[in-house]
This record gives sequence, C-alpha cells and structure tokens, in this order.
Amino acid sequence: MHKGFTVIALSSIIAAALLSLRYPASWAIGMGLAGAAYGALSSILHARGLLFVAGASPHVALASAGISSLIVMDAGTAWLVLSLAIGVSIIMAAGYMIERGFNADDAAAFMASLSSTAAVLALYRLSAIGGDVAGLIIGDPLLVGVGELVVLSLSTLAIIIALAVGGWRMIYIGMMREESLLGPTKSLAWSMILYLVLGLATVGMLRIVGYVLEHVLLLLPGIIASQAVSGWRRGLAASAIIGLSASITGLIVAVNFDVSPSGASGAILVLLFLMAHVIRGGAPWRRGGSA
Amino acid sequence: MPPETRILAEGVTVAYGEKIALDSVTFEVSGPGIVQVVGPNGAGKTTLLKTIIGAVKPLKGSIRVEVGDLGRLDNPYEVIGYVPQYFSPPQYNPMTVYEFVEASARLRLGRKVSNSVMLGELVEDALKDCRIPPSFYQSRLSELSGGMLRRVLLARAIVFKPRVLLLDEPFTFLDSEASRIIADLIVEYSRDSLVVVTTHEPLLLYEATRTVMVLNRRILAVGEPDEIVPKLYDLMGSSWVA
Repeated sequence: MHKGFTVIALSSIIAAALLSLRYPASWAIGMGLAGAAYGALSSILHARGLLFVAGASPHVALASAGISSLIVMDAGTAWLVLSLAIGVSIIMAAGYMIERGFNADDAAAFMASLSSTAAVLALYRLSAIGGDVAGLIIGDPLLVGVGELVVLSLSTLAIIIALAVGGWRMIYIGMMREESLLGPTKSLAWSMILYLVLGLATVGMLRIVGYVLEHVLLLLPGIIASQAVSGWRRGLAASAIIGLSASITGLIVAVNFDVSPSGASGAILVLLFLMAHVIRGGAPWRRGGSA
Repeated sequence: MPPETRILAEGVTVAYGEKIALDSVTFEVSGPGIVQVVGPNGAGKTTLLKTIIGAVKPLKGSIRVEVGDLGRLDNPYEVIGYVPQYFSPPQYNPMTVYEFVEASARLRLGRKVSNSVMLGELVEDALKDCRIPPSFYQSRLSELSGGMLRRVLLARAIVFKPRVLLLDEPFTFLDSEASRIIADLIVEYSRDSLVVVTTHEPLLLYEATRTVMVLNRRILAVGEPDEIVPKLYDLMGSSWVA
C-alpha cells in the first residue's frame, strides 16, 4: 500500500476519534463505515465496468425504501428488512440477467427506468400522507440509532471481507465473460455476491448516505484511486480509504459550518476527483478520453 | 509424444433469430498442430469457436472434443484456452498484467495448484513464454499497446496449459512485427496442443499449419495448406486478397 494512503487512513481514524469526544460516536462511526464500504465497492464496480449498473442501484434503493415506507410507516427494523428484500432482489435479478448474457447497459436502463417510476409513484403517495421523503433523498447520518449502527457495522464488515476475498474473481470474471458462462458454478456465485453486496450497500445505507450522494460515493472513489495505484488489492484499499477519509472530513466540515454531512463529503470527493485528474495528466477537458 | 486431440462436428447448425450463422457444418480436425479457419467477415468463424467452447448452443447437430488420455469430455471447456477477438479492459480497472494471468490460473486450476510458489512459477512461465518483459508485469491492462495486450491474453489462455487453444483472429489490429511475434508463439504452443486459429491472413502460419478449413456458413473445403490455399480465391472470391 502506498504510504500516503496509510497516513490518510490513520489520520481519518484519529480525526473520527477526536470528533467522537465532542459529538455522539455514532456520527463518525456511521459516516466512516458507509464511506469505506462504498469506497471499496466503487473500486470493484469500476474494474468490472459496471458503472451504469452502479448508477442505477440508488434508484432501486429509493424505490424499495419508498414502497417499504408506505407499507411499514415506522422507519425501524421491519422497514429496513422489507426495503432490503425488495431492493436486493431487484438488483440481484438484474445482475443474474447480465451474467447470463443480457446486455449490461440494457439491464441497467430497464432497472433504472422501472425503479425510478416506482420511486416517484411511492414517494408522491408518501409525501401526501406526511412521510419522510426528504430524509431518503438527502440522507442524514446524524440520526443513526444504535440498532442501525450495529447493522451498518456488520454490513460494512461483510462487504469489505467479500470484496477482499473474492475481488480478483469478480474482476476477472467480469472481463472474461466466457468464464462466467462456462466455468464452474462458483464463477456465477462470485458475480452474484457482488450484486448482493451492491444491493446491501445501496439499500441498507440509504437513510445514512441519501439517494443523491450514493451516486457520488459509488462512482468517484474508484476513479480517484485508480489514478494513484496499480493492482486490484491496492485499488480496493485505496478506494476504501478515499471513501472513509472523504466521509470523516465531510462530517468535520458539516459540524463546523452547519452544512449537510453527505453534501460536504460529496463536495470533497468531487474536488479530489478534479485534483487527481489534474495531477495525473492535466485538466480532463483538455485531454482525450483516457485518464 | 503428446496425446492426440480431436474436435468433431456433426451437422452443426447455429442461428441468431432468423439468421443462419452455421449451416450443417461437419468436420473432424486433430492435433497437436495448427488448424486455420479461413472465411470472409460474417462467415461464422467466431460462432464456430463459441460453439466449440459451449457458449453458443447449436440448433441442430453437435460438437465434441476428445483428448487421447481423457477420452470424450462432457465439459470441454476444462481443456480449452480461448482468446476472444475483441478485448478492451475497463479504463479504471486497476488489475495488473501479473494479477490477470494469475487470476486465470487460479480460476482454472483451483486446488490443483497446491501452493503460491507453484502458482507463481506457472504465471511467470506463461509470461516468459509469451515474451512479456518483467517491466510490464505490474502495468495495468488498460495501459498496454494492442500487441502487448494480445500477448497478455495469450499468456492468460496458456497459463493452465490447455490441450486445445482457440484463437479468434489473433492478428486483428496488429502491425507486421507484432503479428510475427504472435505467430511464433502460436507455432511454439502448437507443438504439444491443438491450436485452432480463425484468420484472414493464413499465410502468417502457413509453414506450421496442419489443416486449413474454409468456412462461409458451410464448410467449403478442408485439407492441407498446399492443397487449399492456392484455391482460396476460387473459394472465397473477392473477399480473399493474398
């Protein structure tokens, strides 16, 4: 691992600990875990070229959260379980179609269109009956309770272990399609684990991160990391650290300047993205298509 | 003496919707050695390779692979290395050349590779066999030139030492020097294995080729290069330019 990333990771953890002396520890833990989980996932999604699918997943998360809110009005465990059941099923169904040869962009387009439509219908109804629509769209890590924190910690651990153990398979199988179609069943299983992880992250962490910022956290850390390191393991670690540090820094900015924590984290990632491109080879709009 | 490997096709018909890609294709080829499949664009060459590996299911007929000491194989993919015609790694894929070839070996060999030293040796042998300098081992796939990427794909396909190697137009987009390097690698590998190459340039591998098969949805001719290549213009018309 590049020494700079180790320093960034340690600094972020120390900053989170210091922040927790003054504010509830659940804020820093919630933001940090979500950032690390999304960061790690971002690296593998980029390596697989599944950006369109990644971009469509928050739409599924919003739709499933909206539908669950209509059925279970209280945002507790029952809501989370129902939301996960709906959202993860849809993402895994789309993933299965892709792995069996269906065009990935077509699958993502269908998934985004279907879930966006369902989300609008559900949220319209939800707002009419006084439900919390803004919370789902903007997200609020500061409202994380102890129960959700436990679920979040376990989810993050599961996501990072799954990606660290099976990342090389997920990336390789994605590049060499015939391995997935013809190889042992395990090939398909590893791809499905990736979609499961994507579903868990986008649906399970929606209330913390918010629908809007999920896009940023899924899309940018992987690109930023790939500008700095080579190798899938280093890419995964660097991307997770970028997600973690952006989330903690965003939280620090938020508590000091009274802005949205998710919004501040997003702004930091956008700045890092621009800086990484400029450092690597000049302004992106002055270059050709490649990074 | 390497075991004889055979591919037998009997009345294979493949269609994509209404469009017939292969029409009652029947042949038998054997190796070790090189078999070249020649034909115009849209002749069904890629479909033929995909049918051999099992990625495309025929409407009618069957293809089977037999390896001397293993007999008829239920899942021929276990002994087949396949290099597709097109391969473009995602731009932000951080996987290195070494990791890519290592992943192929780990996935194909599984528990047959007992330790990481053995795995490392297999990967390094494949990389060396394909003349990939060590300075490229830690390069990302998306940073490679077309010629180097072809060599890496070949290394990935031969790392588990398949008995059958299928190469789909391996000289596409390559300059003459890069084509020569790939051709030499193919000839070397064909000494112990059956190598099936689809190509528009049969002369590159002419000397080492055992069989040339002319395909245009149907098999137009099969035979030794000296017998078939002089007839290519008659068989393929203006799509054949020597």
